[in-house]
Amino acid sequence: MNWDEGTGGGVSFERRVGAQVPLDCESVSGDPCAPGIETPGGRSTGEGGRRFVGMPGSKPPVSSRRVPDRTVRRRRLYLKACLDELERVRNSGGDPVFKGNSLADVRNHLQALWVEVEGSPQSEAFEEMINVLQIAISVDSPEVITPRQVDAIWSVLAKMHDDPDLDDRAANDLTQELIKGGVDVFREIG
Amino acid sequence: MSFVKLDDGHRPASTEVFLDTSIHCCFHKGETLRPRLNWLLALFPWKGSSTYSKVEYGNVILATAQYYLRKLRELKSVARLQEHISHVLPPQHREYRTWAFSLIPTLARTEKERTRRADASLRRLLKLGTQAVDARCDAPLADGTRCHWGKTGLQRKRNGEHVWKTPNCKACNKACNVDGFFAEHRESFQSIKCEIDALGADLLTDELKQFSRVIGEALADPSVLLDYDRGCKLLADAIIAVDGKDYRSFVTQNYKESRVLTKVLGQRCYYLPNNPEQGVSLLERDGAGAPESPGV
Repeated sequence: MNWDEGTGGGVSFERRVGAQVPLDCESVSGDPCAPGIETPGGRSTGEGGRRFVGMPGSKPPVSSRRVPDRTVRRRRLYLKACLDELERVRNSGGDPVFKGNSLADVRNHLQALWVEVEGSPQSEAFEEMINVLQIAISVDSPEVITPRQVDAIWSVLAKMHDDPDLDDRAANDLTQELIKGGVDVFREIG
Repeated sequence: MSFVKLDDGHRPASTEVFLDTSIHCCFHKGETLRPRLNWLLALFPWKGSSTYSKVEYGNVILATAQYYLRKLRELKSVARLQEHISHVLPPQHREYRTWAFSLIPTLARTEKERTRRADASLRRLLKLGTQAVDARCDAPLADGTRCHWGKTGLQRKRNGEHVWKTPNCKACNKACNVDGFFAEHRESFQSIKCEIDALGADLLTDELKQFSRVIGEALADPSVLLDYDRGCKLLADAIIAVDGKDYRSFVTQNYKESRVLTKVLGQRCYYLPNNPEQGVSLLERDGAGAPESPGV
């Protein structure tokens, strides 16, 4: 038996590069087929004047979100862009230039998120997590970030993408996940 | 007994290592310690610690974070905070001269942003609280004392601010199992006392003398340990060491006490000095019952 057959060493790897989509024309709904158009629901759907109809005495449902849906969508947009770039890092096959460029893009997207969220009292936990993630990828050389750390950062970003309206408990879980993934989240303090 | 500096080819004798509280605090001590610590911990697939370490972690790291955050908000600038820590703080508060916010200037362009980032980092550290100890170890942590304060010491005020409360446990209001833990490991504590009492004056530290005195009192009545200030606080390092006695390797920054404790408990003692030139050391012992010689 050829040794490579058993180990997979003979398989030639191809670099897979995801299509780059400019941020301003990507879908904000998360649906790749949906157009990136935001409309004020009341006017476009004709639902603006519709009143909640329920059981007598019941109150209309209250959203548990603390930030507006538009803000959530914008956060998802940047987080999705970060996830795409990190996916490229994962598939870069260790190419330091490719990895460095993708990490620089992640840094830019996170910086845009930081500017949006900085000082917002409703988004303290989200602000803290963006700061932590920026610290995590702020390294002198891209080789320093290990695949295990990339996986941890990717996983945390994916969870933030799923629910961008973080509370302290969720932020604690995500911070723990980063630490367990070998990311030094409080590096900047020391 | 002597410490031998390790080289890159070192192979540990066990797959597991126990992290002393000092090591949990090391993660916040900057670049001089971090690479060596990461190298050492990578040698061990299993890393453990004690739930009691959470109290010590809270008393050191969380209390410091709380002080920094309060001062940062008071002075409204991370640069002014650093000046205050360097030049205004009296020498008796040198324990607060811990953090340099070394990475903040590279991330932020303006002082306002640097301050905001420092605030966010300190907030995150405080909110995470003692869960940081869990995150850096493999579960479950040793929990012989069933320490109550480690779980409840971090409290949230009505205004949302997180504060670490210094323990005020009292014997009249028992909330943990430190007395039962002492009774269960009575022989180990007795051996520690015998070892300390047999030490020469050159090796005897104030803390070791304190261990011997408190163990003597607890041998007569273990419930004295339930009082934090007069009991378990004074014996903290020994309690943590005994809680981790099933681990064959122990890593610490307090070599003066740990060399005695690990000798009694039959563990290999790794020492991480502050000075990077000293690398990482392993305590070598001669005589029966001592750990084997390191492979260096």
